[in-house]
Amino acid sequence: MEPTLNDFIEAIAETFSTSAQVEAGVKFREMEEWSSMQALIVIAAVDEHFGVTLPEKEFRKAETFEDLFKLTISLKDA
Amino acid sequence: MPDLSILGVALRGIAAAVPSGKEDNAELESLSEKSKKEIIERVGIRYRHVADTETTASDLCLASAEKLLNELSWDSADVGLLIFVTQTPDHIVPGSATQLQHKLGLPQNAIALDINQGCAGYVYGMSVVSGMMKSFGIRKALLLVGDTITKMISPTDNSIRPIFADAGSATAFELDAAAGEMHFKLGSKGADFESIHVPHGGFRFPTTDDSLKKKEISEGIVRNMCQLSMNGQAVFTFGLSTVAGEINKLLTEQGSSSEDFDLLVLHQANQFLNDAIARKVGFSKEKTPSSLFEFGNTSCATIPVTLVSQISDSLKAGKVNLLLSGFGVGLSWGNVILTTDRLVCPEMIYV
Repeated sequence: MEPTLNDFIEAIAETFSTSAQVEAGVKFREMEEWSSMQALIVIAAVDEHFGVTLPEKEFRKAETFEDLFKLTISLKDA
Repeated sequence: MPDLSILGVALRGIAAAVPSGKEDNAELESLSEKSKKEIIERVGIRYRHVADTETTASDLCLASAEKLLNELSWDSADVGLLIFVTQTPDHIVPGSATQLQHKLGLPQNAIALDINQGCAGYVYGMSVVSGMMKSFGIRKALLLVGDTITKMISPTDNSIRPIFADAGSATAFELDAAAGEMHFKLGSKGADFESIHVPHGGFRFPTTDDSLKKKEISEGIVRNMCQLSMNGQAVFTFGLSTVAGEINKLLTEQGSSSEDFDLLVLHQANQFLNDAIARKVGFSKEKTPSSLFEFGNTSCATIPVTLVSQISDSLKAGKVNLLLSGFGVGLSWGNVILTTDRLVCPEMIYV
């Protein structure tokens, strides 16, 4: 079954501290909790939960968590 | 690609050496407290042994080889092949293998050759050594693998300095009809070579006054064009997708699974990455030893450093079924399945 945006946000939110605001429209690079390590943690979570390894060049173009969700779906369908 | 298998070449022993001087990431003043916490707790690196200005990778490998030859009671006159895998040779010209042949007292008709390889270099070196031994009937050989990668790193590059360290190693091989098969799976993804590279200082882009000027790449990352640059995220995704995928392919081709192995020894770059790769190829954390906390990323030497520092008791005691996986610069990877039997494995050498 195709993952929903909610499933995706839930899986990503688990990688952050509970106080972090993880929502579809949030620009993740502007978050206080964001770091190069956090990017790797998100990539690993997407890989584990959805079976997609987000390529660095395309990840770089994404701004919001929803962009990452769309990228994940497009690669999952490819 | 045909099955890269070699029958009848045995490992006899492994030694590794690190510089005695070390840095503690907890005390790196240029790092924020948040970065220190991430590097020590997630990347898994606390200490890094760093060579002084006098010590080169060939010195660390020489110390390892001398100790190993002595403990094996091998006569250096019997060694017919020496392969030195490094990206930090003593000179641009010539390679360092011939000087190592001389310093170790190997005969003049021994083959001595450098190979420019990095994080996959230990496994690549094993394939070259065992292949040449088998093809040419060379009875005894030494594989020396080491780097002083810190010498090409900017001290003001917070993305790289807390990760890399220096080490050398020596591994002894002998033709032995009773030795089991080694199965290799090697590969390259050269399109992504810039993910880990030194942009200038070769012959494509020679060193100029401008390439030696320090530039701020981003906050906390200041380096010149003759120093190592790395796109950590690109390397991470390479490890997670290509390397894990290639290990799984090797397991499938050999009709085996993690249960058939005592240990998976991965190149040591990032504990978080290694935990994820191990999970994807079905190995528990207990079966995936790590030397990152104490030794960091020592480039091509991480696998022998991990074997010597973490599992030498098992290697000395009896048979050990191993899956070794090196990956990184190139980009390239080298995976190998082998069984070792009562290796000579001296304690870590501090030079």
